[in-house]
Amino acid sequence: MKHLLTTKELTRDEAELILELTGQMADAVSGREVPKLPTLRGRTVVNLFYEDSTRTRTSFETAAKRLSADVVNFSAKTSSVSKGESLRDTALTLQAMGADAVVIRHPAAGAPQRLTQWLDGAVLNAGDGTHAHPTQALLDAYTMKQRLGGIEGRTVAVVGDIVHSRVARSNVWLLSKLGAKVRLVGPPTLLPANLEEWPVEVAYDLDSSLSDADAVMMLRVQRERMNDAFFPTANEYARLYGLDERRLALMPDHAIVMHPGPMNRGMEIAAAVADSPRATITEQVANGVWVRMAVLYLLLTNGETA
Amino acid sequence: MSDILIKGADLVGKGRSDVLISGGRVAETGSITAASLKGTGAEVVDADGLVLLPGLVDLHTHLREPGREDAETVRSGTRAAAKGGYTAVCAMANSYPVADTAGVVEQVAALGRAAGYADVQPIGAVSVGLGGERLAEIGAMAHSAAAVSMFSDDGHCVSDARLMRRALEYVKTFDGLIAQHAEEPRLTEGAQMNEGTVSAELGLPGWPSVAEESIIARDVLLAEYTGARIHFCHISTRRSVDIIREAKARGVAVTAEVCPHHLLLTDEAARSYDPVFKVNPPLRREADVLALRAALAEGVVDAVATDHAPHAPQDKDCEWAAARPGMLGLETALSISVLALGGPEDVDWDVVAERTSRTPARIARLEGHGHDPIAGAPANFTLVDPARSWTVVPAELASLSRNTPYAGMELPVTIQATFLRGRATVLEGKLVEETTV
Repeated sequence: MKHLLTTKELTRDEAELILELTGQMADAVSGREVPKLPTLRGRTVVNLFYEDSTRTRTSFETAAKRLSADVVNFSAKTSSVSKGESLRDTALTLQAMGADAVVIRHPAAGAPQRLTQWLDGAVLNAGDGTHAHPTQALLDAYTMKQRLGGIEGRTVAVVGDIVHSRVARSNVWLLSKLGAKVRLVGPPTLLPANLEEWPVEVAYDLDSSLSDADAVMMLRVQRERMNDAFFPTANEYARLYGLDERRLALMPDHAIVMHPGPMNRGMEIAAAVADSPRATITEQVANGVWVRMAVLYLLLTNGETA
Repeated sequence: MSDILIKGADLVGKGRSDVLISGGRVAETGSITAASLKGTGAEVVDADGLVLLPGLVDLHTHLREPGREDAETVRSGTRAAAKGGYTAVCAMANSYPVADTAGVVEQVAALGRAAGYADVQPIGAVSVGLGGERLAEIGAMAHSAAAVSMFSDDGHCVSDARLMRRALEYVKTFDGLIAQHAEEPRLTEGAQMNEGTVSAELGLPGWPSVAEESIIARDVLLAEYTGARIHFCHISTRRSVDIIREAKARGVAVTAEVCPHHLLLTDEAARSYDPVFKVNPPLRREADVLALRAALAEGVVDAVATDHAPHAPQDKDCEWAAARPGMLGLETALSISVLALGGPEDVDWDVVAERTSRTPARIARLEGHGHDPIAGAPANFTLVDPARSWTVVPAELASLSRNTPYAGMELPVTIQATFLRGRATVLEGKLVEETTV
């Protein structure tokens, strides 16, 4: 594995290897007085973030530091892809500085793939436009594995703004690859057109999508979407697609509630549900560090020095 | 200017013949021996095994001058045109400044004459600054030295139904033509590629086919209602073909063009995220490609037009969303047209001549173009080697830009020579350098 750009390109073996390594990272670090491994000493990991995301950037930074890598935060503060230095020039700069890996978050779908053409180092996609967010899907899968005992044969409902969600896309490819049944739930305005070839079920009604779900993944919905006629009002959205306590009761007892964060409490998820013991939201954040350690380790060592 | 004797060419539909060109026109056809020309100094061009087509006419070229001379100039663009077998190109109005006044269209036409590689017929803007609000001085452009008959806000759809109606009515005074870029703008806000399975996966906002089809349907009705002529630029979908077929059957004065890239490539190319494949309208699905090929063969689609759109490297060497849409087309168009019409073995060259020369010349009212080689006709011709294929090497293109989506592809048929009013602009596949008017 040279880069991690999408979960679609991962083989099932590669995905399972990452999840296994994730567990090993958690075990290895959790037992230590100093929570650090020497594995990536002397290697440079650049965090290249074109979108503000303190959560994801901090998670990657923590992961790299726990592997003893040197971390450089290259914050490209620009709201528009057409302004400022070109992506190619930035890539050539990082190349000249000798980055071993570049973790990129970018508003344009495909930006990480373009980066691989200009850089020798490993490229790790930390979210590109509405395309992919592979480490989020991997940490979600790891969380499900922990909580549900496995992924094969489980039913996962992904609810909300699918069309604008890179998290949903990455989960669809990864979870279906690992043998789960994926159900996308939302109003047709928030589902991509032409889903016929996706390995998913599609449902417009949330109530009837819950009784057989092992995990329900709620996606963040931006309130501003109502200005573009995706739904009439935030209230109507919450009424039709928000996960409240009544709907939580429709889920099987063992089923978990997931959210990639940041949450809109009262919009897609009720506060009481977010704070219930069935919600895995903080575990997902913790697991994110282990997953990112596993991926950095794999990309930078080819799994050679276990 | 010396006379030219083209020896042994395959004249489309008329068999093998020699063609003597003198004074910019065809002097004689049939069997002409070189000996009979002793002393006239005629240059002999051996055309054994070659097909002689009427010079190609492009209804849709972006020459980028004035404004973006770093991407293309009238001279470099018409050199690319000549290399691609074209003797006339229609220059789109989206220059800087926009071709919305008599001054700009006259300047573009003059630059074309000065370069001397192909006739340049400017297309005028429909609305001031392509803004879609007020009519540009259409009459002034029509009556200028550039004699504009075709008007388009290309790149911008004339989406306001009332403005479109007025434009259609207004150009009737001089039998002008509105060429519509059919794209309902509200349905394509932020759009990056064809809306479909691939866009859903790539997370690139989709350009739905219905955004094109709904405008075509509306404008067919407006043209029918006003009794005006309408032309649709670069149609790209199967349903657009259906709507136009039905309108033609009803007798509406509608014509349509298709671009080579829409006859060959599909939205699968976007998986590379390489913006060389970003174009507007976007590359569509296989079913659309097949429908467009059939429609071109049948004549429902009247003409091949390149939408030749040169772009500077920095406008393509970037992330997909930041890239400008458009691709080069002039030097590859004939090869791809032949491919789309059945390939070099099976193609009907008469259909090729019709769709790439005669019909576009008629649509653009270019009276000196689109003529077969008969005595007295203006000598605008293209000699094609149907048996020789070639490989597209971007650095070898005559365009100033390199944004061809066909890099490395092997394409059928090569242009051996192009003649503009009896003067060779291309010989033995190479541009003739010393050309002056």
